[in-house]
Amino acid sequence: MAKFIEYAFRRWFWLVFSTILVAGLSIALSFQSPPQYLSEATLWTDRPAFLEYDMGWAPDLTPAQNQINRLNQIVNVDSFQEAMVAQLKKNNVNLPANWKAKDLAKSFKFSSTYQNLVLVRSTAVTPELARGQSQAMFDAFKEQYNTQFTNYIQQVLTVYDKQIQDLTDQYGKTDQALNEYIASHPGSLSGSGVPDFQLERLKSQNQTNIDQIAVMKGKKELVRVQSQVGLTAAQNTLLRVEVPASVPNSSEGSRIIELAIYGLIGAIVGLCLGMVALALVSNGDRSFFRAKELSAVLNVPTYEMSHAPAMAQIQNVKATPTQSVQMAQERSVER
Amino acid sequence: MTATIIKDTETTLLFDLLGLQSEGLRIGVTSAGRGEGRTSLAASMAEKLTQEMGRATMLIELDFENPTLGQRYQIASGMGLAEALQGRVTLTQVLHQPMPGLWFLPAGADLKQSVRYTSSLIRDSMPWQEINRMLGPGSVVVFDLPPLVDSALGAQLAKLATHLVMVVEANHTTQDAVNKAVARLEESSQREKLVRSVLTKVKRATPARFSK
Repeated sequence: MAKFIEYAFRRWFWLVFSTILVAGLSIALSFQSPPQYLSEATLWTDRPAFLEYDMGWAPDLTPAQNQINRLNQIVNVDSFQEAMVAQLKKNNVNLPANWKAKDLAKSFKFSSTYQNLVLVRSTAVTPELARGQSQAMFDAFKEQYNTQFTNYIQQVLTVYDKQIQDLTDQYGKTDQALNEYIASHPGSLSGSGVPDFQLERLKSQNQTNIDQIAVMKGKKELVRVQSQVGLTAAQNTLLRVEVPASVPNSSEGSRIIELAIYGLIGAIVGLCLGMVALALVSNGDRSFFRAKELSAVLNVPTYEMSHAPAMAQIQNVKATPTQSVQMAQERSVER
Repeated sequence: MTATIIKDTETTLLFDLLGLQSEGLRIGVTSAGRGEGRTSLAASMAEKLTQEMGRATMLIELDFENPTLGQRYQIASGMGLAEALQGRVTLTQVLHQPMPGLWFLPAGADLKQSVRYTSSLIRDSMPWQEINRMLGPGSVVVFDLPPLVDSALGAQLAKLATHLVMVVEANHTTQDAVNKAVARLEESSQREKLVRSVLTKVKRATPARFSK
């Protein structure tokens, strides 16, 4: 490890080079990939306002997250993908040659920007396909939603009918009891001045039943009328906010981010590759970096020099043999 | 700054070597291969012995196969040790003095019989007594030896030295090459003379740094 670190310090340019190289290649590769086009559709899946939330039996129609989960599952279903392809062909959308129905699952992104708002994002290599996919998903969802909505209203009306029937039955019983009491107590309606509490109780109960039936019938009529209005409005995208597929935007706007991501990933990969290369080379390198390494091999004290000893100091000194011999002879004579 | 580092390291090395043997010191500078800084170190050590430490010094070029010191000293005549060993000239005739106190004996020009010269030298044909007498007391002889691995003569000529310094180029010379060089020294029974080594061309070397 120490040798690797030493090696990395000495050959840091390997790391820089590999990082820049792979990052550059990665960015260049990203330029090769075709641009992606994005089309969005928005679905407002809220429960209509007139429906009563305190009705525990009411089906839970449209929490956005539930819809998103369901959509994420359904785009992976073969039958759905086939239906989507059929819809695209029906709408005369040109499908690219290498396009596959399986790509649909990757093409869609669902998100919720508001509690009941499902945002459908569809990306594709052509604007036409992006919009076609988005519109097909919008249509499918809308159809499914409206069917579910109709069924829901029907359930509400059925429950109301049953409650009205129950109240009517109850009214029939209290009304019969009242008539029987009056028949068995002929003086009860004479107005003798003495209150007949039992008669008052039966009359009150009878009136309550009549009132409740009237209220329930009123509610039922309201739901019926409003649902008719709602369904009609839904078909015209008036009741719920539904934004059909938008005109696709080119992905050029997000190109810089995409390039940055490619570059970053490439840089990380390049750095890792450089480190791997360094590790391999340092592992196989049998040369010496430090005096202690050489000393360990030779078992003698070892010095370090930053480079080979310079000869510059003595390079310009010129000696002639004659002069040298003469000096040598002089020195020899002195001895 | 770099020059200071070199000076300090070499001076420390020389003091270190002089501490091992003060009189009759003959330092052989060797290496495993060529181009590691062996000749430069030998010349630089000889110069510093003369200039900074006041020691009369003789630098002898024994790399018959690739002599380069003559060129560096700009010596016009090609005559040198080879010719002296042939008997064509006397040693004093081919001695040069690049600077006061420093004597330089070049390898010579007729270098075809380097093996013969080597044999002659290690048969003690060098008049060491006369040389020592000429240089005076406390003098030092520095040999620029041939490389141990790249030349077959390196280990043989190492016999002329009393102490050997091995030069190794950092980040270049491999451990295998150094081991081979040591093996050559062991074959010629010169291993024990190897007393110091110098790792040259070290990046970020610290002054006079050495490791035991």
